[in-house]
Order: sequence, then C-alpha cells, then structure tokens
Amino acid sequence: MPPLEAWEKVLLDMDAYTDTVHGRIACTKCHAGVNDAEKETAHTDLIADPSEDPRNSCGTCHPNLIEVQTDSLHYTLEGYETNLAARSDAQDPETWGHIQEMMGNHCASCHTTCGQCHVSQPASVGGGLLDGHVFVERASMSRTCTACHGSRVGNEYLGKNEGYQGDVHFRQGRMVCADCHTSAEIHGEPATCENCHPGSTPDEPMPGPTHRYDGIQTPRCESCHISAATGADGVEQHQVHGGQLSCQVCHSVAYKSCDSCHTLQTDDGVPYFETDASYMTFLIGLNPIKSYERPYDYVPLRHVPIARDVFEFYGDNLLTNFDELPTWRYATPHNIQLQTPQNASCNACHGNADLFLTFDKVSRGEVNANQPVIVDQVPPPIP
Amino acid sequence: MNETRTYFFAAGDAPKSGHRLPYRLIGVVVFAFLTGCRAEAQLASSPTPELETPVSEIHTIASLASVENVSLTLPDEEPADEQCIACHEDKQRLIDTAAAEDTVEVESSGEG
Repeated sequence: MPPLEAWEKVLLDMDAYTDTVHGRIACTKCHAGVNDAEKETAHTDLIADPSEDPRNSCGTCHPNLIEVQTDSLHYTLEGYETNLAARSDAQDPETWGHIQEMMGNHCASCHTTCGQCHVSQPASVGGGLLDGHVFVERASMSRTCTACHGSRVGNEYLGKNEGYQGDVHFRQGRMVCADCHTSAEIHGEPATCENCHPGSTPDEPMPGPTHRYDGIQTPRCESCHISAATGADGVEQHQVHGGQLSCQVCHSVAYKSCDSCHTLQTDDGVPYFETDASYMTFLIGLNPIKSYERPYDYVPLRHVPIARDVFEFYGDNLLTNFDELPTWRYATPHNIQLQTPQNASCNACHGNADLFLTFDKVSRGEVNANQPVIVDQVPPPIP
Repeated sequence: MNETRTYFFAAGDAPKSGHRLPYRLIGVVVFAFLTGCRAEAQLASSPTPELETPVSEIHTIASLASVENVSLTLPDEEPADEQCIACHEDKQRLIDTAAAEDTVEVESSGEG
C-alpha cells in the first residue's frame, strides 16, 4: 500500500462531509483543540483519534455498538495475550511484566479503534483519512482490512504470492472481506444460543472469544455451500470426508509460514522486529483445537513466527512453557480454489507424505511443542 | 404463509384477512423478479461461470444479526469550526505548515 503524503492524510473534503450526519458535529467537539488560524494554537490538546476513547466519542451516539466492540479481539488484542500467557509463566509478575512491555512496544500498534476502520487508515500503516473525513460504513478491503492483515491473508486472497492465484471468491466473485466477515463478527458481538438454535434456550450471550478460533465458527463455508456440507451436491469426496477435513484441506493451496519474529529495539529505543524466514507451505496436520464447532481430524497448519528466544531482548527465558502450544497452528488460508493439486484424485493426497506435517518436517527443537499436530501415519493410498 | 407475511408488514400493519391475497401476490412477483436479476448479474460478473459450483443464497447460520447502534436522533447542527476547516481544506497550507515529524511515512502490507 503506497504511503500518503502528510498533507494528504488530513485533507478534508467538506463538500462531501458537510452533507453527512457526522458533518453536523463541530470539529472541536470530538478532536478538542481550538478553533484558531494558527496551527500551534489550534492543535492545543488536540485529540488526533477521538475513538481511542470510544465511550466518550463514538459511543455517545452508538452506545450499543461500543458496548460490544470494546470486548472484540480487534480492540483488546486478547488473542496475543491468550497465546503468550500459555507459553509463559503468566503468574510471575516479573515475567508477565516483561511480556507486557514487549506487547506494548510491538503488538499494540495492531490494536484498532472505530476511527481506524471507518474514517482513516489504520495507525499501523501511518493513518490518513480514507475519504476526506467522510465516515464509511463498510471498511475498505485494501486500505483497511489488508492494511493490517496483508502479508498472509491479503496476499493469499488477492493472489500476490508468486505462482499462486488469488482466492476464487475474489477472482470470480470480487467478494470483499465484509461479504463473509459480518459486522457482528468484526465488532465482536457475542453470540447467543438462539443464533443457531432459534427458540431453544433463553437468549443468553456466550462468553467472548479469547482468540480468533474460539467459539462459533464465523464465517463458515457451509453457510453458502449448503449442498457441499450435506453431501447433496453429488461430489463423492464431500460425502466421504464431510466433517473429517476442514474445507481448506482440499480447497486451499500453498500459503505463507514464518519463523522467529525477534522483537528488538534500536540504540535510541525505537522498537522493531526481525523475522528469520518466510516461505510458502502447504502442510496438513492433526487438528489441535478439535471441538463441536471445529470437529475436523485434519486441518492445514501454518508455522507462526514464534521461537523460544524471540523476546530475549526483554528478558531471559520468558517462554518457559514454550511447548504448551504447537508452533504449527490451525490455519484457514484465504486462497480457496475449486481444483487443487491435492484434490485432483484420491491418491493425490492419500499416500502423499509431502502434504502432511510428519516428524521429519518439524525442527528438532519444536518436536515436543508439535506432538498434538504431527501426523504419525499418512493415510494410505486407495487401491 | 403466515411467516411470509411478516417480511412485508410490520406488526399492526397487517391487512385484514380478506385483503391479504393481493399483497402476497405482489410480494411473490417482486421476489421472483429480484431473484432473477441477481442470478443474471452473478453470471455476467463471472468470467468463467462454468467453473463455479452453484451456491445457495447467503443465510444467517452463525452470522449474527448486526448490532442496532445508530442513535435515532440526529445530532443538532453545530456552528462549524471555520478556522479548522479553512486550514484542512487548503492543500497548499497543509503542505507549508507540515512539521518534519508529520512527514514520516510508513509503507506496509500488514503483518497479519
């Protein structure tokens, strides 16, 4: 995504903005500052992003939305905490203090606010108004969603990984993120039992997710591809494998894996990171988070950029429980294809050890961590 | 058929039983027309429609209803902060007054 010039980031389009509901509100009501011609005076106590304090900005008109959004993973980044707490001694205040310092320096820039989706680009890519300060109801795929979710999801979906075409939903349907990822999901609206079982139980909200694959699976392919889910589409593989394989096992192609994202600081204290390697993989493994919602035996696995020493700048041996979680993680690659190398025939997959995360493909130091996902025996060929 | 009616009429607006049929017929005709238009549009937008597996209409299993969020009362129109606007509408003035730190630019394709 090309950077915006400094002036471009804050240039208003009042012709368009004045006609909108938000255009009825004075600048200083949300941004504070002073209505003055001199920049220094005008910017006194300026609040660049009022939605950093959502309850006192957006929440004054959108209270119901703010109530749920401030518990969403986009806002809390709880997914990071969940995983790092599992790999470390989170009960030790000193250890957890170091990890929180690291998260504040390196992870917090991914925390998003209302404004960073609906009026400007995310701060993590330098910000800048999307449309002259006109609020957009549906966030832009390229300037918002993939501005953050770019190196893996964005590149897979848009076909930017050399040699791999983009997702069929983009190539043929020109679908954008929000076509599958609903407003309720993105804002973290808690699911209730009645969402899936109308009239069955009192409308009690379920606990919010603690990571992206927690709770109800949204979106899910079967919501549109009903006949594939029920095996009524005449495709034998859907009847044979339904429920045992996640859809991506057969319908995604190679995706990006990364190693060791070391978090560091320059001599003058500017945080940065270094990743050892990133590479294209397609590896099927055992499902490490098998549940009612995700009952699959096999799923694609992606190596995430973790290693025992990635946070050593912040403290020694911070990930004492490193083996608690696999380094090859449940993945939902966003490069779905109707036809893939592994679904070309039964034995394109059965008996093909190259497709499976077997012991020999795991780094020696990560074998213990990956025991739950390593495939001991590749499914045998079909005679 | 009672369920169909709820899509077209809010509570209290439902016609008396003797008048329901014309409304239902209108509803069915409009629905059929829109469905036909959508199917044609999908075919036209797909460069190789023969490769596509037919998909059903999107439905709402586990895709939750959107949150009711917008205040029903429009905010009162407030006096515009004319000085703020005058500067932020003026490209040249913004260029001239940009501080050095404002020009720090980030190019990123996202890390997620």
